[in-house]
Amino acid sequence: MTTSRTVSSKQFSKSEQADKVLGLWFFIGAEIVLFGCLFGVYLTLNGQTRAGESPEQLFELKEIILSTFVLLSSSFTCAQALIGATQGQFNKTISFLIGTLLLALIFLGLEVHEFYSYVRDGHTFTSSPFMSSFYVLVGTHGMHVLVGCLWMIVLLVHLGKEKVSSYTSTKLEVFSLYWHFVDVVWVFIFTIVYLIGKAVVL
Amino acid sequence: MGFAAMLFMSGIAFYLVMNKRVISEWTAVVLIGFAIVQVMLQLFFFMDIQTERKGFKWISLSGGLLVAILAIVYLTR
Repeated sequence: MTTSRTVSSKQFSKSEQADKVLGLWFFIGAEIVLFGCLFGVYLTLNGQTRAGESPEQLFELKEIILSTFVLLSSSFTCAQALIGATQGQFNKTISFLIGTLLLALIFLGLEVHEFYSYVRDGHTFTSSPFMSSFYVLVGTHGMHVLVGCLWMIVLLVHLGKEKVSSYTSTKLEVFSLYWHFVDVVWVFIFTIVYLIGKAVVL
Repeated sequence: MGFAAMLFMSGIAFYLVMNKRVISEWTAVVLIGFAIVQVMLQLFFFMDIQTERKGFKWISLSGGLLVAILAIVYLTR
């Protein structure tokens, strides 16, 4: 007797696919409000620092630009994974999704290293209002990256079981939107917190 | 192309700040402009905001932005 492997029986209709994607757009609307509030808090408190703790003294831009390139590259690999899924190419989808996961983990590693170096030098969450708002804003973004990593692992398991179908490609499309949004937030964090924070604006 | 443009703009913004630690208000505006262009590239090239049900997508985005901007203005006034 031979056993055959079950390949996906779950499928989404066009309308269901569009509904799932639209649901994530509403979620993105709510997320914009969350990050808007966090940016507001940061912009209010970033002048309240201790001696030696101002953004221009604290931030190492070379590490941050590396994180930025890593995250932007992960957006590209994520888009390639989705293209692979829409073309029904299982290997391309899996390999680009694993690439995205690795880049996300590198980004998280760089962020943990950055936070660790600040804490080691005595710049903790409670040391000043600026540091509190900085950790909350950048940390919330980091949590979103972490959630994205867990989501990717779940997606990889789904793809391994169900292969590429309308069901898994819709899930990948929804995740891809989330991931690009996380990238969009980082572009603003990079510009407003790090670049403008590091420079002295006349 | 969108990806390359985003890398290029991030690189230029980084170069501007690394080379001139003291920047004018206009340079800060240019930096924010680069960020906005990058977001537009993400929205159009990667997030397909102009495809099906685009009206709902724009409403969701602009509704979130409106509340976010009001919150920022309220907190920083």
